[in-house]
Amino acid sequence: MKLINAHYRSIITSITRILNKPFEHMLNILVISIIIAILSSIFVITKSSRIWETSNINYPQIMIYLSQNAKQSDVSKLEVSISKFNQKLIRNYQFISKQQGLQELQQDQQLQMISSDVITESSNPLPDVLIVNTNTANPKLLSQLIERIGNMNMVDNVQMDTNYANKINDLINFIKYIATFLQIVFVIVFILVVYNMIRLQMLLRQDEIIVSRLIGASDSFIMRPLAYYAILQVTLASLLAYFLVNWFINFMNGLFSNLKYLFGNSFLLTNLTSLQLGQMLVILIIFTIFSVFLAVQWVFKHAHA
Amino acid sequence: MDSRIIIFDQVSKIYPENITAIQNISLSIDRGELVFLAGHSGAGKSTVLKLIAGIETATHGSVIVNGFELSQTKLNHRTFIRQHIGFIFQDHKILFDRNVFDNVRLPLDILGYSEHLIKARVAHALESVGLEHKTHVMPEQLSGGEQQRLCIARAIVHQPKILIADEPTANLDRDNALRILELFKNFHKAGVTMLISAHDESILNDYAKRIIRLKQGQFKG
Ligand SMILES: Nc1ncnc2c1ncn2[C@@H]1O[C@H](COP(=O)(O)OP(=O)(O)O)[C@@H](O)[C@H]1O
Ligand SMILES: [Mg+2]
Repeated sequence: MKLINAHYRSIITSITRILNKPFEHMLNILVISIIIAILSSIFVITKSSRIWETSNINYPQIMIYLSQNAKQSDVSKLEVSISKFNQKLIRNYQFISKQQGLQELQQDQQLQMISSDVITESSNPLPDVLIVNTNTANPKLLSQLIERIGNMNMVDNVQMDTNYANKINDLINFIKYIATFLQIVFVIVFILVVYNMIRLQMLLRQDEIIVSRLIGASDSFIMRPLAYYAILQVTLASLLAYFLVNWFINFMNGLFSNLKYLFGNSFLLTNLTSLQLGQMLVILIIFTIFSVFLAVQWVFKHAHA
Repeated sequence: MDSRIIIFDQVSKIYPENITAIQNISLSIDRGELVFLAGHSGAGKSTVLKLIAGIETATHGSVIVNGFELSQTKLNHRTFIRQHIGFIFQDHKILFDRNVFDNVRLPLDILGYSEHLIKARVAHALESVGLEHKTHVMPEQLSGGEQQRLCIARAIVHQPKILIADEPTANLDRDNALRILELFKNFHKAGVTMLISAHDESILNDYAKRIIRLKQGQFKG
């Protein structure tokens, strides 16, 4: 009951503080909302590019050469095994029988001359082939996949353009690293801004803090209203950022759809949903409490409060 | 139960830069006693009171208040004692950014009282110091005597068993000073253990129960 009173009191205090000087606090909220907007933009852009990537990047192909004496039933079995793989690994596959292979070969003008004489239906040296379109560029997953396919019955040989796979993988990783790096940078900026805001608040309220401590206020008594104050600011800033980012997304998507006439395939940003906003807010509030804690400790240590 | 509520056992306090404020003091105060602490400025009066309140800690010796040892390491004891005694500071420590009511409620907020109880207790405290008509006034609009009474209201609002006043009459004219001492006498009658310091002993003559005299951090005479 006492604790509920204390929390209730802290919330009321922090709301009145903001309402008493709305303009002063508006500036804080604006700065924080810009940081949150940048953070969520990075999130949206990486997410959208992942969607774009799956429909626009050609992931490596795996060629499965079947044994010469593979029968139709063996091929069916193999197809069943392949189709059981996860969607994240394999998008689809295509079967090219030895007869089809021969036909394609015979249609090739230059090869026609030699092939027609040497190769006939009855002495077709070509194997049946399964072409698998993968859904990933992760080298580790791909090599596992190749190994598992290679161990399957009637599989003679498995090949993949490793060089291409690595290039794609490097590109995707590079983008991921940049996004992660930027996110870390802006989370640190966020923590520093909240930290400084709280330190300033404490210096402005130094008398109150000193007197409270003298008459027995605990650290958490001092910290509680500051934490609520910061959480309130961050929540308001997040809402503002939500509107900012979605406005920005719609604006950019308008630009992209114009560019579509120039480049063909379009890049579209997905909107930030309210669920994502909620999840982000939870994480930001954890960071907020952490920076409030740091600020309070700093003031207690340096201001002899 | 031990009849002694405050015990000093060979207590010394040395501030940073080797300033000895009090030296090897032993004393005990019984529950419900009224004690005056007299001595010139710099004699160590405030230091003794702060040691009792757990605001400062002894460099040597031990301070025990209401059974709690108040050493450097026992922060929870000191916090508890700070919350449960009343302290009237020499420099008032009034918060000028809020009205009388909000100044007086602070100890109750720290103790986590409900809004309802806070209203009742603050009203009662203000009434007992004669400031009930100033509830919503800002402190800078109060006279010196009224400010002193505001401090007293804040110190008694949570109905502490021990009340400490550091030179409460120092900046007041004789009339106001006598009025404050009259208030203290009432608290004493109600069973509160009281410690009051003063550098001017003349005002105490009518009230003196027990006077402890300090000189340069030691007992005198
Ligand atoms: N925080 C402090 N740091 C250093 N010296 C102090 C501090 N507080 C008090 N002193 C010194 O301790 C001595 C006693 O001070 P104090 O207890 O305030 O005496 P009184 O209240 O009787 O005037 C004085 O010499 C004073 O300068
Ligand atoms: Mg003093």
